Amino acid sequence: MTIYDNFYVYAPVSGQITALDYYCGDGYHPRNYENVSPIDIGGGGGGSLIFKASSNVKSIHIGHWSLCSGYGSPWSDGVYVELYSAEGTPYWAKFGAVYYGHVANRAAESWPNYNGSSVTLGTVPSSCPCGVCYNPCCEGDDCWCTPICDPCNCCYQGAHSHFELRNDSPVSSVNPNLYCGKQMYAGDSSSWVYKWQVAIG
Amino acid sequence: MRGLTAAVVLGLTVVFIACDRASTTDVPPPSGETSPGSPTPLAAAPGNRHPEDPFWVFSQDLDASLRVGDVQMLIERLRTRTITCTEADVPPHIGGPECFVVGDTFEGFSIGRWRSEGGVVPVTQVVEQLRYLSTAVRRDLSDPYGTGTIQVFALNSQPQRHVAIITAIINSPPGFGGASTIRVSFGTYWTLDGDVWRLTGLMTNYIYSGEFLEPTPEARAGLFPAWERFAP
Repeated sequence: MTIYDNFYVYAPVSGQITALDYYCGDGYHPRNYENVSPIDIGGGGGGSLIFKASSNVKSIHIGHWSLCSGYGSPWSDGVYVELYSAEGTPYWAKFGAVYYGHVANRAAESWPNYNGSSVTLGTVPSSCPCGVCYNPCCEGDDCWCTPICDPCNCCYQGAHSHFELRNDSPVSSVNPNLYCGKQMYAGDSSSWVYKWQVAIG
Repeated sequence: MRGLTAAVVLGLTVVFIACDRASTTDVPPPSGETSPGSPTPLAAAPGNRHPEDPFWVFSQDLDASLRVGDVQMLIERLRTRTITCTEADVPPHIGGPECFVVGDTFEGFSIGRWRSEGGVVPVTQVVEQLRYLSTAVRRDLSDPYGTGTIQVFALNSQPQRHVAIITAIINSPPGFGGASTIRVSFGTYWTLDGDVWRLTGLMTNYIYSGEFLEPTPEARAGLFPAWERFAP
């Protein structure tokens, strides 16, 4: 008889949900690579962005990725976390990954594989001050998108955390009880976002 | 919905601008559940304090139109551009045009979502949102920000950034949990094109609407440095 265990990842910041598969109020919420179930949570700029999972996640590996090409760091910086059900990140114990976007002061990619289920990934970037960073879709004062405080207008509009589920596991799922405006609490087990049901024996 | 684009756009005054594209539950108060009654509204500035400012003058007309539930003044002034989806645009990526098929074309409008992300969406989506405001508005409700009526609440009038912040209490759109009504606030971005004010961008705010109505340091620094309470 196969034995299964449930593994959970919790919200990385405290705040309200501003986007799920669709932005709250309108529009498709893009995701990267072939990831699924993107989520945005409004969070305080400068606050910690944490990875916390259920204690049965025994080790993780941290890597870097990029989003929002052309918008600049830190808004375009991302961190991914691979999850393992055994210490030492053995390949046979890997069961999933979560991709976090817009990460300031991100944890080093060379971080040694980490035994445990909780680590600080970086901080939530502040909004881009007007006129600081480059907006690739605008040139000139009369450009069509100039009037929105351009700098990062398309990529990052107010402090928040964006994260998405790596779709390489048939046993993963998103919490079905999430909705626009729901208050989430960083690292709190009541605020789980993704789940994997994995055969462990 | 794309099929509606042509029909909708025909009804709009559309200006094409050349620009290379390189590319209640637990919604907390005061943005949350609203109720009938007469709470004390936040004080509004008396009258037009900038009669010499064309944007303030224009905003009086806009406010009058919105207060009777008419969003046509927004819709007919939308400024769009034609988007042709390239391979680089598909599938949609954060900050890019909402493209699902290479070669697809649509009239695009620049939209942002506060504490989230933005991009370029078919203008039909924007028209739908604006029309939803007028059909879902709850004039019978009020909260500390005032009545639920659609109205101009504040302005940011700077040479390169003319923003009218509009707000309303509406019936919640789908996907908002158990909240039956919510207060929303939108930053509407305008530019003077000849002698006509055109709507060139929209920053929606369905979740943290209070941050546009009593601007936080982040909202003020990033969006509305010259935020000023408006009253007709």
